Amino acid sequence: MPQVSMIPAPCRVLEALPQNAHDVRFVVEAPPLPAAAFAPEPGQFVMASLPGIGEAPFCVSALPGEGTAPGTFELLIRRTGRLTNLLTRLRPGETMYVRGPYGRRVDWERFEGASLIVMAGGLGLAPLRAFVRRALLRRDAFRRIDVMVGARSPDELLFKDELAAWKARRDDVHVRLIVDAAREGWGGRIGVITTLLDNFEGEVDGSHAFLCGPPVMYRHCLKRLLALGLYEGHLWLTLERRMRCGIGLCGNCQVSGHYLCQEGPLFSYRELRQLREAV
Amino acid sequence: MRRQKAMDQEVYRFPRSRLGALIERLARDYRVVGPVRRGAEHAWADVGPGAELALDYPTTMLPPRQFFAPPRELLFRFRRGADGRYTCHEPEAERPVALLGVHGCDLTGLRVLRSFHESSCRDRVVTGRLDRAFILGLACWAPCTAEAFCRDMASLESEAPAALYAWDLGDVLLVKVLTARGREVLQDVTALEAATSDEQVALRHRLRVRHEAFPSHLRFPPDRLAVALEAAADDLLWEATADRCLSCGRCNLVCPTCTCFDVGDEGTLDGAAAVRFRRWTGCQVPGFSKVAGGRDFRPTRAQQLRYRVVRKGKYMPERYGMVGCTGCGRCIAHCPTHISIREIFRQVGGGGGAGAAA
Amino acid sequence: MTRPKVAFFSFGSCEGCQLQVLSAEDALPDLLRAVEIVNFREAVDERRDDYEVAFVEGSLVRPADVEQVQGIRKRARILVALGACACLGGVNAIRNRRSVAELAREVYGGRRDGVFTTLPDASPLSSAVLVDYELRGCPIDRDEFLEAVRSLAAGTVPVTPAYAVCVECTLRGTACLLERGVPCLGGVARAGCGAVCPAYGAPCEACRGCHDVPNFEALGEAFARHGMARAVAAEKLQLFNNYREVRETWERALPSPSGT
Repeated sequence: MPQVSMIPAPCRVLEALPQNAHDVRFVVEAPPLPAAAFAPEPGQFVMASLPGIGEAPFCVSALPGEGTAPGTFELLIRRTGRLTNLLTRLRPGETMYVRGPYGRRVDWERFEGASLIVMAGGLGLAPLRAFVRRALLRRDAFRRIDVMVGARSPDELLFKDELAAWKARRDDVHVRLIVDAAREGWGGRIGVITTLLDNFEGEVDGSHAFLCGPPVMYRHCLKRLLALGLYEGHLWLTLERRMRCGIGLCGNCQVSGHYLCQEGPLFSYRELRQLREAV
Repeated sequence: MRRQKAMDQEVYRFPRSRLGALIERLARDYRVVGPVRRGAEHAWADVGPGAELALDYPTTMLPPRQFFAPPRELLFRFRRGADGRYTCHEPEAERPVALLGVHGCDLTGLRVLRSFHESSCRDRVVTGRLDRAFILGLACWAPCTAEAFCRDMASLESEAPAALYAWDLGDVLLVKVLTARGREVLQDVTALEAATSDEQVALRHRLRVRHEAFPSHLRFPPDRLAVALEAAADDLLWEATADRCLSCGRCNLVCPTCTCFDVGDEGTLDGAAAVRFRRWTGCQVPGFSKVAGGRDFRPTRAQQLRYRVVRKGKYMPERYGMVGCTGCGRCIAHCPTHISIREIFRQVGGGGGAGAAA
Repeated sequence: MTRPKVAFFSFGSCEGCQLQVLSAEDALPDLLRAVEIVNFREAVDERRDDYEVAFVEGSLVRPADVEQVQGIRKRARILVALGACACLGGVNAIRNRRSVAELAREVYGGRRDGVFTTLPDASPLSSAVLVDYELRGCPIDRDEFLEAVRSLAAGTVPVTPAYAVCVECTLRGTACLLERGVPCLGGVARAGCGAVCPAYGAPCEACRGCHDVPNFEALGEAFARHGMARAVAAEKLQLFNNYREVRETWERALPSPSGT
């Protein structure tokens, strides 16, 4: 039966871990549905809300049982406005109201046997983290895995411990970080994320690439990856839209008649090229 | 063709004097709503003492979709329990509605509304209201406004989803039965007398005269719109027209086939209770296409105008099987600067090449 | 939860916005449970300076006003401008197109010297201090005020509509005044009032300023199409939107109104 109810379930916050001045990583108890019902896939989102304040979409940044305890999931929430001012202030034991998951479920078999290139700018790492976790969990199913992460400054980097843990896996996953600007003490690269593709040692042919970040990053990374010979059907982007309902009704996320909350927000560039005003 | 068909089916005479009885009969099961005079205009409102049913109305500003997806609708209430957690409570289903005197454009609009809600995601609240409604359709004899182009959009002669469909001949209405429920209700208030041969002749005559009364504005069928609009995607027409747009959003709100809504919360000062509601909005309303951080993914008026028109003429038929414009003319009549979707359709699809507007 | 301490102040205004607050009788007990009022000349005797939220009505019209609002800004964590005068300059700014000397001659027959001092322009609060939130309107809307208090007490920001008064008019089924040849500014005006004026037959005067993307050329065209001169639109806009920076947004798009 299609989902139509917009009624959320109360979900307990288990951990609230500030990442920097404005981003908080939340470990949340999954909605108390029949356990199997809350089974998000990488790239899907939930609608999270507070009564009397409002509701907004958030990509799931860690799936139940994938590096998290079963029956829990993670969200990364940035303080930007009316709702997130209060969501980011939630403490363990308090409640947020969640419904979902929503969005396209991508068939992971299509990626198997391929190399993966993950490029995340800023908040873009929040949804892509679920992809990397999934890939590392099934490490044998993929060839080389490259993860490139850009941030405005070292302070702005998200999931620093996890990035370090990925790095420690050495050849399992090639992690490279870059920041726009840094004070002394930053031993890593400085610049825009596309420069990480300049001497790219990984494979491009036959790879699948996953991109999420600010709009400028999309344009430049897209161009570079296509120039390197990546097939446009293997280039995956997560689009940001302000869904109000999540269930294909409210129209706010519509692009060229397509409801992104149902058909996206994850799209291949090949699919996106058909959509006017998408990127 | 349609004129003959009307005669083949069950068509009964309905003395105008029985309208009161019909309203009374329907009021037993429905909230009875119809066109009612309000100052110089007409609006859909509850029919009753002091609010006379005005079947001779030209048209209304807000379309009947307001009874199936209200302008502002409570989704549910939050109530805070003793443990500090909120529980959600959906409102109870309201009385089904009986709509009297719905013209072809708006009957078409209700079919478009259904086609949308039976597509990718069915809003059972909306389809449930449509299912339970009782609709009396009403034929138009003359264009309601200079802006109407229902004949071009093939909605002038629409009868579904009405239960009963009426041709108003003055003292008598000829009423066609379209559903079993319609027959049941009609039977309760009239003796189901067949139309006299004089009345049948009168109806045929009126229908012939009517055909002349509705001019043709477009020289192509509505199913050609999708291709024409695709070809005109980059036309200067959009910018030239959008220069006149106030971004007031009226075209969306008065449209019988717009469905977009915004979701909002309100609450009491002590936080004990709150509501979540939805409210009509649309692609021409400022803020509609904003995303977090204030970026707008459809920022210019030209893009927004094109989006509205292309959605009606191309995306909707492609995805839901019905053109999203009924030709009711409301968005033209109520646009402060008379931006005309009819004129845009004419220009993109008009004799020969698109792009003549540049 | 501790109740935030709030204060109300007023500058050049009719104090009608504060009266709106006081007239919210049903909500006052809840309001007083949600906040502690430490300074409100219109309502309470208390005069304390330890407020966190300052609601400030009125425009700045005298040199002393600037110093006083700067003092309020220093003490308040959150400063909320209340109403058209505080947000836009409001009706006080009608005088801004003429010199103080000229006005003094006309009003006081030139005998004003030494009576009081006046700033050359009546100005919105934002001309002198950082304003955190604006509650617009002449007067403010009671429900919008209560909703803002609720948001601030909960620790977050109030939201106000970005769209035109036409949206609210159409949603409540009000027939368009412009269509009847009445000079209504609803198409450029910011909503949030519930379109109350047009509902009672009075055209919108844009007391909340303009919405996010006003198109003044199109407003002029709309007036012309409905049998009115484009200059009438400019004339109407002067009532609430005459402060220099606000006026600049529409001035070039419309012909000058007569008599200015």
